[in-house]
Amino acid sequence: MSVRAELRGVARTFADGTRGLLPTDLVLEPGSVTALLGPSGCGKTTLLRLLAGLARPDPGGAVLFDGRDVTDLPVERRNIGMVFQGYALFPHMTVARNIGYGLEARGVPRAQREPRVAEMLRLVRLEALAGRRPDQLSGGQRQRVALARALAPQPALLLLDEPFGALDAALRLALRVELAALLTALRVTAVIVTHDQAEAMALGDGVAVMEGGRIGQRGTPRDIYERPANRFVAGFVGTLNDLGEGRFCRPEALRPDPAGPLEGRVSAAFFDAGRTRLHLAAPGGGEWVLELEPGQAVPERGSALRLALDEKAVLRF
Amino acid sequence: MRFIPPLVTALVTAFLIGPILLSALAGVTANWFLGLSGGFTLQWIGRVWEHYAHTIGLSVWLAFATLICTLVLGVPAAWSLARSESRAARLLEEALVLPVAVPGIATALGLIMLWGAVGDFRTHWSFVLVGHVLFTLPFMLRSTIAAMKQADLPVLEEAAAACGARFWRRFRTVVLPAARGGILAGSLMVVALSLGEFNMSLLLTSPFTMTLPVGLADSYASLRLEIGSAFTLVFLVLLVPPLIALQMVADRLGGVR
Ligand SMILES: Nc1ncnc2c1ncn2[C@@H]1O[C@H](COP(=O)(O)OP(=O)(O)OP(=O)(O)O)[C@@H](O)[C@H]1O
Ligand SMILES: [Mg+2]
Repeated sequence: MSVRAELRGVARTFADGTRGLLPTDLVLEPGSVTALLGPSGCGKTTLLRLLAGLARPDPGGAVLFDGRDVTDLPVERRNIGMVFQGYALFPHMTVARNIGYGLEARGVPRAQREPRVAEMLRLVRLEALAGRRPDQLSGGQRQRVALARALAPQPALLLLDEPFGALDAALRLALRVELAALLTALRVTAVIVTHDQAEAMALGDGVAVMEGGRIGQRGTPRDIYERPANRFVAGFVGTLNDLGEGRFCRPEALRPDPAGPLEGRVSAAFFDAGRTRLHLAAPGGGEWVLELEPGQAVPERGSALRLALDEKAVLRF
Repeated sequence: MRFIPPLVTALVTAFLIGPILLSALAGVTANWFLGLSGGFTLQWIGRVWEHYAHTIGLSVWLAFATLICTLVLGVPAAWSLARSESRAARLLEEALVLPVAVPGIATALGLIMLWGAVGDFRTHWSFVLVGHVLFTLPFMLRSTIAAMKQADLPVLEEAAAACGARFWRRFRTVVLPAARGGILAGSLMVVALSLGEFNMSLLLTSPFTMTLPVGLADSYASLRLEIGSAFTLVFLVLLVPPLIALQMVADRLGGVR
């Protein structure tokens, strides 16, 4: 069912000359979930639209599904499912009709549509709201309708553009867990766009970090966190401490140690979910961040603190 | 002091409706110059029917045909104007006020100069139809474009396409429903304007293709006052119910969205 999708030298230049995407190669293995991570305006939506067929690549680029060139195939014939940045639910249709729309468009007769829609309603736990219209739903419910609408026709490729964009933190977290479970169960090739690094790390088998219209690095979440390809990627997927002379490290590489080689002055301490994040003023003028183990004594603001460094975890750019 | 606003409303209403009521009343009095004491009669309405049945039928037919034409031409045109980002499209949208600003008589003269000599076109009802479509189309366009822009159509259409819907299905199931409030309001305007249009019709009609308002002027000019008034009554009976009905539907749809 799920497809191997590939971009080959795909670029996108807009009418006004803006380069939304520089020539890009990307392979999405069947059944893999790829998180597309990057700051606002880096080209995430542009890449997704090119995969979907909502935009045409500049001449020379090709989009392939299972090795077949689909560059000229319009979006409605690519058998994809898409969740848009603002959901784009049909306002004049009920929840059930929204969810069944993809089946309707594929000519599935009503008798076969209804059980499938009921199944999807169960899956996203919206059975009780089947008859409502989108404007009578909460943000989280809308998000689930959009997801069910994209999934109902069993698309070969699922594209999610910031599916949790407009939701509050708690709901994001809850839906993230639900979506992760769903994607594992469905084994559909999927791309999830997000600018939240924790979300990308949690949802993707693989993460692609984008920067200024190109993919800066691809890898597993662990790879990218521990062996970032460049300083931008390193800074985007986690906190980075500048040790000077091109040497950097993650907060975990530092720990308080009276005999340690480094010294900083404690500037702030934040308590967050059982751990304390300590901010230090570094001698070079920068700022270092580290986390204290639960139960470890929190040093006073303004006091000097000596630190040990795990040399193996030092990153060089 | 609180009774002043309702009083003003009542006065304004009386000012607006008074003449119409008076005129309609004249249509059922036996002799207007004798006043109500002369008694009531339906004979004038009968006379109107004798003289103008054809005119009334033609007007209803013309309004219907105008509506069909403006729907068939206007909705697709509105769709392409609403989604186009070109400057030409914006200019064209601005230009849609022109036919309203130009006096109907001028448009009618233009049409006559252009088509007056082409066969029997001048005396055929479709000549009037062309004028009415020209006059009413901008109203259909403007109201439909406004509804389409408000509905964020490009995104909804992309969503439908991503669901696998081809062009016609998208148009039928997404574009039309999203714009239905505007299309309905436009239709209401078109029917009302076509039924009541006088300026342009006065020149475009011929004795064989007389429309209702022109017939009304003709009846006041050439027949008894009571007949003209009876005609007014018929006009109101014809125009008001569909207007109210359409207004109610438009309100209901407007409320849902
Ligand atoms: N239609 C367009 N015309 C011109 N430039 C565009 C157009 N659409 C996008 N761009 C530009 O292309 C770049 C990439 O846009 P894109 O929408 O892909 O960003 P994004 O990564 O999805 O950002 P966000 O996280 O804010 O959604 C941006 O600089 C944007 O301004
Ligand atoms: Mg985006």
